[in-house]
Amino acid sequence: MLAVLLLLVMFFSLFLGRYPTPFWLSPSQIATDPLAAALVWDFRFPRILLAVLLGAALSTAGFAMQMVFRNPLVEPGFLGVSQGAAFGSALTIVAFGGSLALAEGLAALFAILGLLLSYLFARAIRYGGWVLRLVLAGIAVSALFSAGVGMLKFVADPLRQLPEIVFWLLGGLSGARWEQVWYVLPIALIGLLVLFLLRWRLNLLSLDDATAFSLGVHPGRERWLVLLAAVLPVAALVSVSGIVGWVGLIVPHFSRRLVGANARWALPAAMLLGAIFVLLCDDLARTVLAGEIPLGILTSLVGALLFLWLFVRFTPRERKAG
Amino acid sequence: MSALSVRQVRYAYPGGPERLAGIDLELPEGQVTALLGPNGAGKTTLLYLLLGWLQPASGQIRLEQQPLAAFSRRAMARIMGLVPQQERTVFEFSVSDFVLLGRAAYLGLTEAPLGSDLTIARQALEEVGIGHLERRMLSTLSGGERQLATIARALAQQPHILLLDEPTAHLDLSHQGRLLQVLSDLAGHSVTVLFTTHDPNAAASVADYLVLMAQGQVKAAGPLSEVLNAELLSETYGVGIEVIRLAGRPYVRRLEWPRG
Repeated sequence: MLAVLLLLVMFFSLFLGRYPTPFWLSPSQIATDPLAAALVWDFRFPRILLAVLLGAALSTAGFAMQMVFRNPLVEPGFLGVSQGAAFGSALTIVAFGGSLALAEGLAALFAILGLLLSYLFARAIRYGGWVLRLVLAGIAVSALFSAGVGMLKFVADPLRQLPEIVFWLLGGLSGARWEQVWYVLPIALIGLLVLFLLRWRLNLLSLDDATAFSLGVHPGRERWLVLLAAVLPVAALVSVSGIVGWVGLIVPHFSRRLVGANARWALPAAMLLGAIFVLLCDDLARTVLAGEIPLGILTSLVGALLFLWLFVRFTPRERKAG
Repeated sequence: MSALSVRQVRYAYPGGPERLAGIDLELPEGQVTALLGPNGAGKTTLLYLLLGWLQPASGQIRLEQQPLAAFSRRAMARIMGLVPQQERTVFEFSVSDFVLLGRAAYLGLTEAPLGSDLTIARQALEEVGIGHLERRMLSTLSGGERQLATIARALAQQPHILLLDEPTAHLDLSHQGRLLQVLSDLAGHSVTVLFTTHDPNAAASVADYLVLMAQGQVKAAGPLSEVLNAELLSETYGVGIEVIRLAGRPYVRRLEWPRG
């Protein structure tokens, strides 16, 4: 169902845009206008693929993190992952001239570092329960990396590097080309495939460690495998798109509401819903105004509103972690 | 034959005082053993050592005549199941999804339960008498039903040994009775049952074998009739106690308010 919906949205997204007239490009125009055909193939198609990958990676990673941390209020952007990746990419722009491969590598490195720091600080903080401690540590680590990005902006060349960092940080896919698709596709697909295959075991990892152990699980080992598979695709995509927030938090809540908490069904649902959500937001971002609206602003706006609606309208289905 | 044997096991939590000071214990096969002792006696610590989750500082634990370290995680989970005290789940699972988690030891990393696993999970639910709750959400169950669902999850592991941590705590009288009945039935089906409790009457009503613990040591161990005596209990709990017989089973009664 959701997969068919995603394909439909992808198909219609090809015809959405501002050329030659706002909003709609008919198939006959593509056939007759070579510029339109080139536009659809060279720009819209890779952009749509990146939006789908970005949405799937963010929401699947958010879903996996919520389960292995037993905390329905975490997502890559709350645990230092997105900000770590952003710092790595900004560092590449300032220090190494912005090569794609290097940006991806450094983004991955700092994303893992961000997650590790959040986790370690959460264990060391002496205030509140696990849910709160993890959120607090994540906020602090994210702020550290944001400060780092701020420093990089401060020292960046104001004419060449600074605008690049600023636009990239606002979050968006306006620079999407096939080249970037080829860079992120392998790592994103591998990470998502690993999470998809391990999805039933996420249920076990959401239990208390000793209980999971008694059921035949190595909780520590399997948790790190899941986190690595979750963080790498996010880091790769963030190095292309900049920070796109709230997707990883809100989409898993909707998918659980739709199909229940069992990760066997809820993880694929989150993957597809996330792809649809980000693709629709990106369609809006590039279609509504003559100028581009940064995607990160749209997902935060829509995501935060949906979050408020969800938590005001319904009691969260999850119990508080003890 | 003993299903589990413990030799001179000592344990201290990191940076803490010694919790277990040289435990010796034999768990008789196919019987219900109660691990009885006041709060803080080290019962739960011993349970998690038996499970392999905690490692003893010294001494040895043997499962079916072999050291615990000889078993893989999966192999051990097929032999031994755990029912933790007051388990909380963060995400809202249905009862059948929850019980199916017990099949993990029989599934590979990338596998999910099959129809045959569901059959086993349903049998486990029937065995504890809550087959009709299969489709309910775990959070809508009463405390007693939830405890039974947790036992069903452990039974889905098809274990020879079942460890339960304070299974009757926080349950009302009727649910306590039902749960203890389930434990007694399991031993009838040749499952070795070990449960911790601080309530002498929970032990008295179903246990064949009793281990009395206090302050990190085994005070006494043996058949229920030998260990459940007024003198030992009075000494362990620090309060005057008498053991009477009620409906063919021993019953423990406090004679006075605690001293001091």
